[in-house]
Amino acid sequence: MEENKNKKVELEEKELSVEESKAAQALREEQLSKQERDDVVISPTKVIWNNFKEKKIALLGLGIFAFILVVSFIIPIFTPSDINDIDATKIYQAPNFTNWFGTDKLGRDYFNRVVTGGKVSLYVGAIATTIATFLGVLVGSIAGFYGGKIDNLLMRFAEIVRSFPFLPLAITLSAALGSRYDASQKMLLIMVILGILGWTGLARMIRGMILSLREQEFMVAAKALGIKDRNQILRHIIPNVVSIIIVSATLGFAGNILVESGLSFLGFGITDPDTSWGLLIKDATASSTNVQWRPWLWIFPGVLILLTVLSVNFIGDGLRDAIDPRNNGR
Amino acid sequence: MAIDKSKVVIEINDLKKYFPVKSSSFFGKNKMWVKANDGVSLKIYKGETVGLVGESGCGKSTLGRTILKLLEPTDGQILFNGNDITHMKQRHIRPMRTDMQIIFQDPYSSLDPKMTVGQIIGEALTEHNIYKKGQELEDYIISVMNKCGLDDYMIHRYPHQFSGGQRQRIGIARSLALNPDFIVCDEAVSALDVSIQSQVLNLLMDLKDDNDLTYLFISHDLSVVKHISDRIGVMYLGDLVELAPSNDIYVDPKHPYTKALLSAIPTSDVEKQKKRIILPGGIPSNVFPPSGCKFHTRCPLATEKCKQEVPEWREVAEDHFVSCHFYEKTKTMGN
Repeated sequence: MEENKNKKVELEEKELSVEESKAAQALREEQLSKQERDDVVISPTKVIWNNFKEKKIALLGLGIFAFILVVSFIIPIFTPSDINDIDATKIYQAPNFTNWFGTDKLGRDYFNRVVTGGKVSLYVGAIATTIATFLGVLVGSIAGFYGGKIDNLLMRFAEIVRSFPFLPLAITLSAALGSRYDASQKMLLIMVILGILGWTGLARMIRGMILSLREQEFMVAAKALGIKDRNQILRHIIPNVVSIIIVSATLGFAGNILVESGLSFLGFGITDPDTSWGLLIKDATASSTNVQWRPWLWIFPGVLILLTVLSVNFIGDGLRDAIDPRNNGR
Repeated sequence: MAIDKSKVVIEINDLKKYFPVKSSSFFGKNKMWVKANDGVSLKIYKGETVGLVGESGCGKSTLGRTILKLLEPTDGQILFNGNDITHMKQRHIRPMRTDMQIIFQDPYSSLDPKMTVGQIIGEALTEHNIYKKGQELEDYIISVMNKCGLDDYMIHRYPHQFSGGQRQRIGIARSLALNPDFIVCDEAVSALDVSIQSQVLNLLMDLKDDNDLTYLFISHDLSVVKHISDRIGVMYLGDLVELAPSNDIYVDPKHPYTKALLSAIPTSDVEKQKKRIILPGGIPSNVFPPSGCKFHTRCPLATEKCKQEVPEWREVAEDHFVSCHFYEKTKTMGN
């Protein structure tokens, strides 16, 4: 009897202590959750920026790209001399204190020309990429989402566009229309051609991704919740393909700068007296003397193209990783 | 809540859902069909839980999704709260979606990985203009989350940061946030381990009592279905073969397939060893289903009649429907 009583008391004590520890635990959990709540309530943009900041190479890319942008767009406003100021006494001078990047065959300040050329190249790259990405996302997501006949139609159309040979078309167009338009119109023409011909790859990739996304149950769930088609595409599909879009856009941007350079190099894009990086390289490599003995003529625009393309790719890489919530490291 | 027999939430009549199979010849149009649902009729009353069991591939999930018009029915009729939605356009069904919801089997693929929990639960609320974005919406989302056993702080987290059970709760919260009348639970607990299963089942039952819900509970797990259902339907190869109150079906199965299915439930009682009824063969193709009674190829009671005549769907006891020519003999099976 006595023993039993003792046991009972012991048991009660145990229960009591269990309860106590439970209460303590609950308290701790409450504190913890409060703390967590505090550091969780940050806007998604901030999360992306925080992730992006951790990628040193992406930050470096951003820095370089920002620098190039600032230089290309701001400096031309403040330069005292026109890019076409000819000085017959200063032909082919190597870089020095008055002409930082040297001078060209007409004695024009090369720094001025490179910087202004950068503006043109970046413009062309950015606008062509925007057009191509917009068309690619639009066509790809509509084809993938609705499938069936619409898909078939759009994809066959994409194949037709894809089968246009780009160089002959661009060359023909700028040869046929080139004389009628001034430099800025021609630039616009090139951007539009690049954009209109460049969307097919992205459209295909996005369509493919969406076909597989459509099979995911969260798309059925979205339908069951009564989400409008447009919002299904905008809120569920685009965010899930955004990494592809970013990669494609950054690669496309870099590629378009190169294509513009190539076109100018061939003489079908921007022409003298206007300037762009590709054109400068073309002029520089016109003679072997220039290549061999006047390296500043091609080194500066060449290195700038390289830096721009690389930095944009680094930024794209970093952004892609930063946007993916699975990369949060939590 | 008691079952209200005067209110039919879902009524389906002779519902058929066929999926086209590409024929092998190049010019041939799609002439072959997978008959996923081949004439199913069912009424679900307000406040009731109807369980749907059957082996995999028998068309349970297809039925659940066709009822909600997530798949277009091939033939037949679907009435939701008395409205014929069989041929309604998605655009017109959209406003009704708030009343009918679905909970999915896979808690991984059913949540958008790029959305936070708050966005997932709140999306439909803003879409249907029930709430505007803001504090009020957030408060409501948190209250729904709490109801489903999720903590406040989870609202800004992403699905991949949760366990399977928690993710399933998110899926439940998403459906529940719209305050629906009718929810299809499509294998809602099958992907969870047993302890979490019972938690989620209890949650579903509590929610049903609190919110006057009606469930169509699809599962292949007989013990789960028994636990939660008022009535149970058994499906075989696209057909409903038996439908009865859940007690009746366990005590007195009328269809030989039901009986065989029930004999497969593992028991922990060593004293009372049940005789296991082994069905010969596998499930026949539902592109070319067997003639007559589809079950005749595997049925121990089958006769010549079963091969030729499709059995009628008839009420053999109160609320107990079966489609079998020889349901009286089912008792003798396994003895």
